[in-house]
Parts: sequence; structure tokens; C-alpha cells
Amino acid sequence: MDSNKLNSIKELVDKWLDGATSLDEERTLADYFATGEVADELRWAAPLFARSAALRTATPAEPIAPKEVATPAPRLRTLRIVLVTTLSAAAAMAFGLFGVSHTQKQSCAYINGQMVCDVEVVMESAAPVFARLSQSLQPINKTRATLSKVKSSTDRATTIIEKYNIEKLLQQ
Amino acid sequence: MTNQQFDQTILPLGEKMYRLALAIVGGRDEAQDVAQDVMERLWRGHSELRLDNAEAFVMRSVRNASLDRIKQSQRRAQRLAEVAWIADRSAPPREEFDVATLVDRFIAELPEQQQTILHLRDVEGYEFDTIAEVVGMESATVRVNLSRARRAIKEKMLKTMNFGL
Repeated sequence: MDSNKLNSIKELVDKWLDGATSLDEERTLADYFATGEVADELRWAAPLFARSAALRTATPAEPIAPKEVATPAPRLRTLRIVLVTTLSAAAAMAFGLFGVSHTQKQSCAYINGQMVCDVEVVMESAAPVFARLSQSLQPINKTRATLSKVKSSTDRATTIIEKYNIEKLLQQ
Repeated sequence: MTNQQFDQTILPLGEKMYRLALAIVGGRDEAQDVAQDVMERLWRGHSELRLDNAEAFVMRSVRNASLDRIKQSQRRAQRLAEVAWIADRSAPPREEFDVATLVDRFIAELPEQQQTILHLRDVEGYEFDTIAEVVGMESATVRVNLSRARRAIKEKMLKTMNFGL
């Protein structure tokens, strides 16, 4: 290094000792000491700059992050979406299995493609279907409130079938 | 602060938090614990955090938590005991000097505030205003303490390594 540049570095080191250097000037010093070609009179400072450079790369064994990073709002929103979808599917399944027919002033249900007008047979067939639906919902129903919502929805679906089939059948 | 703002502003500070904790408490496992604890607390109260000067607030939290950890343990006393040999002027210089260890020991002998200021400036490259917020000083006082720390290390390095001028 020529003497002018070395003098410039020495001046910067004095300024650095006074705590008066800018961050850019300190980067200039860091670059100089990183070359390994340090003037004898400045060798005392090299380990300090080397230490700072090494520390900058120190990383924790595991990432520093809160364990509960997932926010409640999306979970609740997801749960709502799943509930609505499942209940809609349940209702669609119920009507698909027990399609309502109003032909000839009689309300019947279709079970496995066959029309059934006997209310007791319809209810007997409906019960296991809704039991299976309840079981499939258990993985996402972790709270008592959620379970009661599903139950009440199941009851509503049953009530709809009853309303369409039993009442009109009873009118006969 | 919203969740997204937390993810964008606070989460990326994890490694800086760890390094500052490491500089103060001295052990990697403890530094990990301190930084993780602070991050958890910040997350739990993030709705109350303000965006402006969030980084200074975070680093101040890490510093305070690290100091609390030191008070709870004997680590600082142990660290100072490890460097006690330097006070023994009669000990002949060892040829197999580990210079990096020397620098670590000299820094460990500094007052905690100077150690923290040195770390925030030399390792993390913070401006003086930010350092002042972290350590609770005026900027001018930060510069003075930084100067004292650097000169103290220079003196010790020159004496121990016998460079002379």
C-alpha cells in the first residue's frame, strides 16, 4: 500500500478511536483489515475487526420465532369454511340420498335410487348416514361449541326431511 | 402492529437478537433462550407495538432480558474469574497466544454498557441514535463510551502483545 493510502488509514483509525467515524468509514477500515496486509503499527486492531466480522455470521441453533406464529383469524376462518362446506355437503348428501318427491300428492324419499314413502323406513335409513357424518367431523371438532353446532345442523337436516315427508304423509 | 407487520418487521430481527444476547450473556444456549423468550413476549403483545423505532425497542428488550439473565446466574462472575490471569503482570507472555480469546477477554472486562455499545456499532452497524435508544443514553454519550471502549482495548492489546509504536 502506498504511503498516502496508509496515512489515510491511520487517520481513519485515530478518528475511529475517537468514536467519530461514519459507518462508511468504518467499512473502509474493516475492508483494509480484512486484506490481511496490515501495517505493523496497526496490527493491534486487526483482531478486533476480525472478531466483529466473525460475530456477524453467528446464527442461533434454531430460528428465533414465536411458537404460535399462525394467527387465530385464519384458523377460525378456515374452521368456518370447513364447517359451512361440510354442512352444505351433509345437506346435499341428505337430499341426494333422500330426494324428495311430491308426485301424486304424496311426499316420498329416494333411497339408493328407489322411491320410499314409508316414513319409518326413511328415518331408519337416515340415522346411520348422519351418524357417519358426525364421525367424519370429529377430527375438526375440537371444542364443545363446534360439536353442538354440528349436532344442531344434523337435527335441522333431519327436521327438514321430517317436515317434507312426515307432515305431508300424515295429511294422507 | 398487525400480524403481517410483525412478520415483516420483527421476525427478521431474530439473528440480531441472538447475537446481542450472546454478546451479553456469553453462552449460545442461554442466548438462544433469551432471544426466544423475548420474541415470544413481543409476539404476545405485538398488537401494542409501534412500527416507528421498533428495532431499537426490540434490541433494548433483548439487552434488558440478557441483563436479567446475568443477574440470575453466576456467569458474569465466572467470566471475570476466567480473565483474572490478565491482572497478573508477573505472568510471562505465552507463546501460543490465542488472539481471538484475548480480544474476547478484554471486551468481557469492559463495563456492560460499553460492551453493548461496541457490539451494536461494530457488529450490527447501528447508527448512534439507535444505539442511544437501546442503552438509554444520549448520542454524544454513546460516542464517548464507544471511544473509551476502543481505546481501552487498544491499550490492553498493545501491552499484552507488546507491539509498541
